[in-house]
Amino acid sequence: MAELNEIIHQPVRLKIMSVLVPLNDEVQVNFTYLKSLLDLTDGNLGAHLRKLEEAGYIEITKTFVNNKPQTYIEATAAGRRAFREHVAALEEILRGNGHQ
Amino acid sequence: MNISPEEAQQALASIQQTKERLRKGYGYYGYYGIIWGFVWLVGFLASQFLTSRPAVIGWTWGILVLAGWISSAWLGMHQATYVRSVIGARLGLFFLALFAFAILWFIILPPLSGKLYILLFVTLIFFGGVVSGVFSRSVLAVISCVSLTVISLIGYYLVLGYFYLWMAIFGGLSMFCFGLYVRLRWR
Repeated sequence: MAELNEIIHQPVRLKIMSVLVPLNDEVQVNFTYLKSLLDLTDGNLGAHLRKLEEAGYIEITKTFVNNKPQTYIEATAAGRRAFREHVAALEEILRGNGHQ
Repeated sequence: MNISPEEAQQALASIQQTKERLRKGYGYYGYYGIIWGFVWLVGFLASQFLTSRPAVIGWTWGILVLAGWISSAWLGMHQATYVRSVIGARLGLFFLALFAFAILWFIILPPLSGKLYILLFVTLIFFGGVVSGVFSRSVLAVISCVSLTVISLIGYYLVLGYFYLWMAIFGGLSMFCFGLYVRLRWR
């Protein structure tokens, strides 16, 4: 039976992982784009990204593009596994055989 | 951790909504189809109908391809403010190598007819597209490039006299329409 994941279940972190996991594993999302996509502030997004990074679910890369500092985020293999397991657990609950 | 079915439903709906918003970003890729579809459409129409003016055909292709490369490079740089692909740079190098080898093969090969050169060139581009699709795990890119290869071969072997017109319609126009569809579908 799939397990719910407390770190991922938080609404903002769930949305962050929903953006990162469907992308191919070599694709990284820009911080500013992610912020606008999810209607978040810099501080709010940064705090949740740190939490996910500490859990080993995402990787953050800081670099320069056209001499401007840019931050890119991608889901790790562990993050993808955890997210998929969380979604499976949610679906099990809906089917009536989960963690109610 | 225990949650109710209602909370589970809400969480799954939130995931779905976020994925939908992300999909809207895919429309950006449509610009590449629009640009290169236009280049092929106009270029091949010029090749088909301006046969008595080879210099005009050469200039038309030169200007179109240059404009295509510049606008694609600009799009790529702009796109990096949204997402970037780690293998993108490697694919760029692969295409450079492919073009270098293509030039070498054109030199090595015995003289070919103009249309055979074009067929060789477009199938090389589609081969590059298939390789890119395999590395970026894009089934759509692989299917599109294989289909376009088959269409090009059909045009060359069945309607040689109208090969350029065939490529303008089935290569250029279809690429343009597909790009437009992608742009409008996911905007």
